[in-house]
Amino acid sequence: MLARVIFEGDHHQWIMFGRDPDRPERIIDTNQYMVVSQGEALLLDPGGVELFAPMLAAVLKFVPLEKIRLLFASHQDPDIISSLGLWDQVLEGARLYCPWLWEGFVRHFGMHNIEFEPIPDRGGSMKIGDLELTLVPAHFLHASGNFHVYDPRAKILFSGDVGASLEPSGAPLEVEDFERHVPTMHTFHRRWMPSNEAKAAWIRRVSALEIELMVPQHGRLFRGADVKRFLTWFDALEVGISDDT
Amino acid sequence: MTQRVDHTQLTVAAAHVAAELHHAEQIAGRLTLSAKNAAAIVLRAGSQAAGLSVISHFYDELATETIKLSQTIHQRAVELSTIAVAEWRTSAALTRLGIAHAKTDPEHRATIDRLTANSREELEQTEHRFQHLLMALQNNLDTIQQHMRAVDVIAVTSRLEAQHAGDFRDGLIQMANLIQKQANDIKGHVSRSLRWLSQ
Ligand SMILES: [Fe+2]
Ligand SMILES: [Fe+2]
Repeated sequence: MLARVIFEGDHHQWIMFGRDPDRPERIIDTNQYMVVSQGEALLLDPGGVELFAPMLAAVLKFVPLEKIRLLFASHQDPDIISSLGLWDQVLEGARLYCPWLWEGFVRHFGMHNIEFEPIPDRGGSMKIGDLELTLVPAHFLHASGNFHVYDPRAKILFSGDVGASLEPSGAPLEVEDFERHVPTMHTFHRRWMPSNEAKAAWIRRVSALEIELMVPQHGRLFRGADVKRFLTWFDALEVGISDDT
Repeated sequence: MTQRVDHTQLTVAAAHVAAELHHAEQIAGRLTLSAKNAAAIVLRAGSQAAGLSVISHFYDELATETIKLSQTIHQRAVELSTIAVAEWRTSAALTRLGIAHAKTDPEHRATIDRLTANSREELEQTEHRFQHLLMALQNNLDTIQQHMRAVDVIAVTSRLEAQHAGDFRDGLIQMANLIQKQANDIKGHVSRSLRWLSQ
């Protein structure tokens, strides 16, 4: 599994994991992220059960196991958090931040040791090391209980399934030419995002943030002006449509 | 009888080995650079360091091979960890089948017995693969240790040789010290890996 430091600050670090060449076929490619502050680590959307072993090995290159204090699940999908039952067996005293709505559902993945931290609908914050991260509501994008994570110091927005693109493996890490990137996002957003109203509310909320890097759970990362370009494109897109509708 | 293996522990141990070897590989990369620098000094020193020209080649060879070995081990360790997860899941399925067995009427147990037998067989097969891979990995780790011991010995020899290298003496000694330190650091990562696997 590829591991890349995407932000290196004075006191904290963002690391991206993904593009696993040994990923079993027909499993959607995912990006996992880790934020390390003062030696403590938080895993954002730690991923599916099939990726657990390579993910664990990749994480241990950066931090010892006992320093993984927090997990965050933007929503309940299997590609996000079906590894929970395995993390549950290897982590001690860790907590999982997850939309309150999904507690009874994600517990089906197996959770006996990790503590559940329900995120209320209005959002809130979580602290790792001395870093405070904002939990930005992103309900119905696409799950009915859904959050993104904003780091005001690094100006990074973790945007879950929003901004996702589906490309053959080996694609570059970042968007290089926005217009050419659009076709890889189009179908995904039209079909998986169910609500124009929710989309508009999210764009309003996110536009107020200063974002230098937007990092989705699938596909390429958006840097600088491409974040704004994405918001403009997403704003104009009609969502909640399948080809049969 | 299935023996009690802690698959969680195995998964974590193999993942640690992968991480350790990632670090070892990075140091081995720096070691090849040191080897090249040493070779450059030897070349400049000419006849003053004639005895060292063969030695600096050895460094380079050993370091390059260590990089390759580290990559192989890293890959094998991730595979080992993945197999351990598979075993972990199969043994969890077996536990559940046991519960289902206890809750099923005797006349309906045939299906569960069949599934249990299948899972046992699968577990045995993965266990076999695991042991096979584990042995290969341990051999690779031993080979790296041997290489690093060789580097260590060469570093000691080159420090002695460097005494006669005139103006280049200090540079060569510094180089030998650095190379020895890098070799020791790699040895540290490999020793930790071997400890993880023997637990
Ligand atoms: Fe999703
Ligand atoms: Fe997803």
